[in-house]
Amino acid sequence: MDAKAQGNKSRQQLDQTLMLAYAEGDAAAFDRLYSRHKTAVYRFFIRQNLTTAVAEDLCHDTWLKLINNRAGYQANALFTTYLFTIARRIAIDHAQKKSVLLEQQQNEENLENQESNITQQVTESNHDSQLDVADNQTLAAALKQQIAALPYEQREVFLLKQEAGFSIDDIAEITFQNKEKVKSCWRYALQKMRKGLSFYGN
Amino acid sequence: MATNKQDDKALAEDQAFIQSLYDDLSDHNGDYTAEQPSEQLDQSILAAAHKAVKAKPTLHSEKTADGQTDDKKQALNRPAEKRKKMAWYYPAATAASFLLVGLIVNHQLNGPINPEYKAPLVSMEHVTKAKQSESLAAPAEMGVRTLSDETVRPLVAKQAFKEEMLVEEFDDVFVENEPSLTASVEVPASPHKKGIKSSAVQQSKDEIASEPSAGASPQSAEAEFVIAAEKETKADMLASNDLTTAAQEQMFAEQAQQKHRLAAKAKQKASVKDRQLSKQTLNTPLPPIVLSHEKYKALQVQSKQNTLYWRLLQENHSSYVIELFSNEQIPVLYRLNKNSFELNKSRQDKRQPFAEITYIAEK
Repeated sequence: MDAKAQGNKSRQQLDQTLMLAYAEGDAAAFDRLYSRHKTAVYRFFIRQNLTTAVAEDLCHDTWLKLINNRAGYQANALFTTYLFTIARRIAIDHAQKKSVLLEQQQNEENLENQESNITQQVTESNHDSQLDVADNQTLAAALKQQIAALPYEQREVFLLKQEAGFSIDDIAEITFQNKEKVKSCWRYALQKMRKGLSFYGN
Repeated sequence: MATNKQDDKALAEDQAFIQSLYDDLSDHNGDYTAEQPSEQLDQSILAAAHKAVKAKPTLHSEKTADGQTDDKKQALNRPAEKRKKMAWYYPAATAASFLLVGLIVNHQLNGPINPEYKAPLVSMEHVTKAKQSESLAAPAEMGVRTLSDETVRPLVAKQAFKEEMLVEEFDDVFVENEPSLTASVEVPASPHKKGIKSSAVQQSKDEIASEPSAGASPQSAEAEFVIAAEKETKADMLASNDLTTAAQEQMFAEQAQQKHRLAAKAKQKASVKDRQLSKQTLNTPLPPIVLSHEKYKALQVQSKQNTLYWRLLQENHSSYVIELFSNEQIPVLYRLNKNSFELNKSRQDKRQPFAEITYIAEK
């Protein structure tokens, strides 16, 4: 556990060093930073029930904002926290512009229908023990759909915790929310996810 | 406490369950965990990062630790010489403008802009005209009852013409002649009025008298008398009706005459005043008056009371022109016939007493 924490700390220190180097004019430092975090940022957006094109656009905006505000970066904050704060703001702006909340309601209805279909498919496929790959594909699809079906705040916390690897404290810092609220969001998100994916536990 | 422990246990179980699913996916299905942004996106972001580093000043305004923007920094980074120029230029310009304004004000207060400028003299014609217009406007302003032109015009056309003629005649007459003017204007009015009344009464009486003679025959003398009396009263009534209208017309005419008289008086007053004013102010020399014997006697009497002096101005073969001075009056020019008057011109003084003028015919 200590080794893992030390590894995280060293990674964070490296991120900070790279970002400061880029702010001073080292373009290669940004290349390394980008390669380390591009997937996490992209997945943060793609799990927000967005299309690939929209997710890429938001990714582009996030990184551009980081580039333009490089001089304002201060080493007292974690780089990942800083990066995901920017990403979250951009996601919220996008949601406000496109009134995603309305789309979400429609999608939730669609997801319920799709979920029942998937359950039927999984039930049928379980009878066929040779189709393991197909099972995994359906699991991935079911996982995505369950994440997309979460309420916005819970989804945000779930993605930051489960997929981006942030702690509850970091998420509270990124989302500018109370730590307890973040924890409750995480708990409810897990409950819903387990309920939705209980079939795969067997 | 027990519920919290249960919750934590449930949370840990849920977390472990989800983590196991993620582990399964990463082991068997790399698509879920290995989702990557496109190459195109990577290139564009990296290009933007390199471009930003090459172009050192960022597009956005960067705030310094003091909170000053780039514009302020640029202003502070101006060359020292330029800043110095700016420092003295504005106060100097302000002081110069204040000085200029002060000088202009002082110049205007001390003296006229053009000292050679002379105000134009107002001629007496303008003054007279102004006075006339004022005096003509006066009756209406003073509340004198006037009639509308439409009512009066047809009735007093002839009278107005006559009065206009009279006004023209009175232009050169002094104010002292006002009573005669009033009398002369009023004279034609009364016979005209009487003429109208008498002719109207006579006409109506004749008309009434002629009516019964053509109709019924008289039955008795008493009845005839009654009928005649009635006719006469009827004729008188008609005549009186005619007379009332005639009287009204006459009244209007008189009112119009009065209005015109007032206007004429005002005009005369204005002209007299104008003359007096012109004598006093302009001091225009009048032509010499020929000194008659009566005037000489009067002047002699006057010279005993208040000493009169004279001065010879001009002399020709037939007459002298002298200037006669009294105490408070303007000198008057007199022409003296050499055959009638003799002047003692022996004295050296320019001004001589009136006694030096002698009437030869007396001798």
